[in-house]
Amino acid sequence: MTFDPGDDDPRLTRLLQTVRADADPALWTRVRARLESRRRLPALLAWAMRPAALAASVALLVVAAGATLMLGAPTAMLPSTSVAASLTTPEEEATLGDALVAERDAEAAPPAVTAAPAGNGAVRDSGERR
Amino acid sequence: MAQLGAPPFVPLLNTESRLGFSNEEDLIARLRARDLDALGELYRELGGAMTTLARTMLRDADEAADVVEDALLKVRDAATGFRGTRGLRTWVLRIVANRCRDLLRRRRFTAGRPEDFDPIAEAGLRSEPLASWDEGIDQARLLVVLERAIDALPPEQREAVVLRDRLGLSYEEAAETLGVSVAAIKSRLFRARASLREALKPLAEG
Repeated sequence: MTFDPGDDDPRLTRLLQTVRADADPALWTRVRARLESRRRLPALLAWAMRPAALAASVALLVVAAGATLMLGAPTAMLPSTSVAASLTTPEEEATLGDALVAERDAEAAPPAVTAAPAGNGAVRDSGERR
Repeated sequence: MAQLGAPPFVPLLNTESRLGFSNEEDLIARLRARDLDALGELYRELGGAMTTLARTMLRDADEAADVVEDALLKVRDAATGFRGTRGLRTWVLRIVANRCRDLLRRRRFTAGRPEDFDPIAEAGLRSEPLASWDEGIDQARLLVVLERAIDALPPEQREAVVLRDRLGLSYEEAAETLGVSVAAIKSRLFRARASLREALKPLAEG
């Protein structure tokens, strides 16, 4: 003990000790009820209510949602397709294909109509009815 | 499951026995085993000191009740890790003091007390008349002035006064409770007592 009576002021201490508070029985009843309700909670539910468990559940949900999206749209993730191609619909793809084929055919075939040489035999198209 | 055999709660009011345990080791062992009756016993023994500390520090009975309630739950949760080296009373009061400090830090910039603030009634404290008070001074008024002076002390000095002078802890126990050296406690008490004497001087002279 390092108690030094010279440091204390008995008169002041006596005054200070006349004021105090008592333990509140209602508070203990409240605490007891809280602890007993906590005890009644099933262990799994109690664990699930912990912040870490809630965070883990949310993370799991996000991963599961991501996996579901990936499985639901397999063509979108093919590595050989470009982003632009993945954005086209089958109808658009068919139209583009047709257009390319038509263009190639057009280049390979001779021109159906050649320009008439300018001269006497040329028929002029005046726009008038014959 | 409710324990029907639990004895009714009767708080201890006696100053001398209020802070003492008959068998502290046994109580700690039961607290570690999460025995709810052990926690009730702890509150029966220390509830008065916990409540006095919280109410004197906060001057708000409701806030003090919340602090004591939280402290009991903390004791219950942390008892398994309690080594017992510091002493149960010191440990429990330290939890209360820390919670009070947190609340006081949060309300640092709140408005001051009103003029007619009664620091004893507002805090839910009670005063016992001194039997041998023969100095012709209005004791009730003196106590109100004293409590106002305590309320005006910096929190670290207020803690020291409550633990040492009001609750009767030794210097070592008060130091352990607040996590400071004995010299620091003595220094705080010296300054606090000087302020309190200064506040009481006009009444003593008048």
